[in-house]
Amino acid sequence: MLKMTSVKKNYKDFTLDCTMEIKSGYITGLVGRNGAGKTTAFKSVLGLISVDGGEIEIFGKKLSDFKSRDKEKIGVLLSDSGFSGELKVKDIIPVLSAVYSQFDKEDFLKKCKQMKLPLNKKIKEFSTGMKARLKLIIAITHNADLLILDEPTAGMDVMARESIIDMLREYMEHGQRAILISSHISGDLEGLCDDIYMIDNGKIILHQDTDVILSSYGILKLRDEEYRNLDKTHILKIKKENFGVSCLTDEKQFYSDNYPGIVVERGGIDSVITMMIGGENP
Amino acid sequence: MKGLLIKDLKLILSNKAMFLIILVIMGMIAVTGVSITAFVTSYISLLFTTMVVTTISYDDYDRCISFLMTLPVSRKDYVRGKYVFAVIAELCGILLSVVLNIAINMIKKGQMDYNELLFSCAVIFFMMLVFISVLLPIQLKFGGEHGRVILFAVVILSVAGAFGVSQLLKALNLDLNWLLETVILGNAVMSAVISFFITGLLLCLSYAISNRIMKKREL
Repeated sequence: MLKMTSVKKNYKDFTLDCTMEIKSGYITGLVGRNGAGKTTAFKSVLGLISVDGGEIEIFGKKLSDFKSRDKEKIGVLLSDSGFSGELKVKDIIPVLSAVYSQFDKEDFLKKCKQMKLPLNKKIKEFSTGMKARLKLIIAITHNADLLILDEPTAGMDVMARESIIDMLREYMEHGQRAILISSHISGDLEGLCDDIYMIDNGKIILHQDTDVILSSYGILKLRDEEYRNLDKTHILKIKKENFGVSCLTDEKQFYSDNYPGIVVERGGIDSVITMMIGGENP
Repeated sequence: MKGLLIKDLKLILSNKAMFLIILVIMGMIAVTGVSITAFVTSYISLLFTTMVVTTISYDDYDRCISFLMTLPVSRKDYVRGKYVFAVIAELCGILLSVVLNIAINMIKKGQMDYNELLFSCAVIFFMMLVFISVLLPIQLKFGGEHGRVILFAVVILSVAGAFGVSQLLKALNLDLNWLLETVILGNAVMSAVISFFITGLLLCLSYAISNRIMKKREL
């Protein structure tokens, strides 16, 4: 559905160099620290900024050949941008009806009611959670095949985040659709995404299925002596600690079986990204 | 473009304070019975034409423009929408000022000079088109807030330039009043046609520049 091949964007002190693919039927997560390049990658895909190299394809069409009508099939949520806060929800309904040929007004109103969004109140008076829910409703009520969501859960409490994630799961139940979603709250992505791209300093440092990260990746906690005697074939990164060495592995079962005495912790997205960014090569 | 125009209209209608100001000013004009037709027409037209600046400021605020460009509209649609909005607002302003002028006249029970009114409207119409041509590229390049400052500087420089030219003509003992009286006022139809073509050309040039600015803009 979406393919980025060596997409480059150069700024004075930052360079994006990104290759990613979002397949039909997949929810793909993009994780990274603030300033890692997530938003730049999104803006490149959406044509909001010019790129200095590489190729972007959406629905098999080059971005340069993408017409404004083609954007009907994409639903977008940007964390730092949306309709003006001066408008009310009822004001944006005729706007959406005019721009999207498949805008489903009934569904929009139903979802606003479900999410307790008042139609007659200025958006600037909404809470962070309400604004995010409105943005998501706008993105999913015109029969888009691809959602591009930049930090949809930013600044929200657990309950509000859950409601967003439930809406995304429901969206994926219909037809061949796909979602590209970024977040720095890895817990949201662990339970939602089929695969994860990790980005740091503008570069993709890891791409893996979420199941594989959760089942095969792990952190080994070793004393220096244990580390010296360790088979390092499946060690990706190491980090010096007070007690000795932490090691990131993509084969935690291998070490559990062959080194019964060592501590093997579960590798969540947070710990994997921390090691991938802050660790050294073994 | 239709969706963007609806959005701009909703934004303007949401700004109740502005309409209150317009109503107060109109009321003051009606009560005091200012009879300077050109003043009423130009003031109200200017007020309406600059509404487009308000819509651009709202679009820039909180980077709303980034989201708007993810909707199925092109950057060209956005630019076209602003020009269409500005011209429609200008026409509404002129229409309202005509109504107001007639109303003031009826209150004062005076003799309406329809020729003067028509002439004022035509002059203001073309002047506002020139104003839009200068205004929009500046606003789109520098944004709503910075654009205002730059626009103010442009207006000051233009006035200073015009004053300089008039002083120069005076110093050189050149009297161009004959040009105004015989060529422009004497040939109303010809003047309107020439004005139409000059402002049309200027507007097209301005539109092309605005499109270029938007195309290059990083959102």
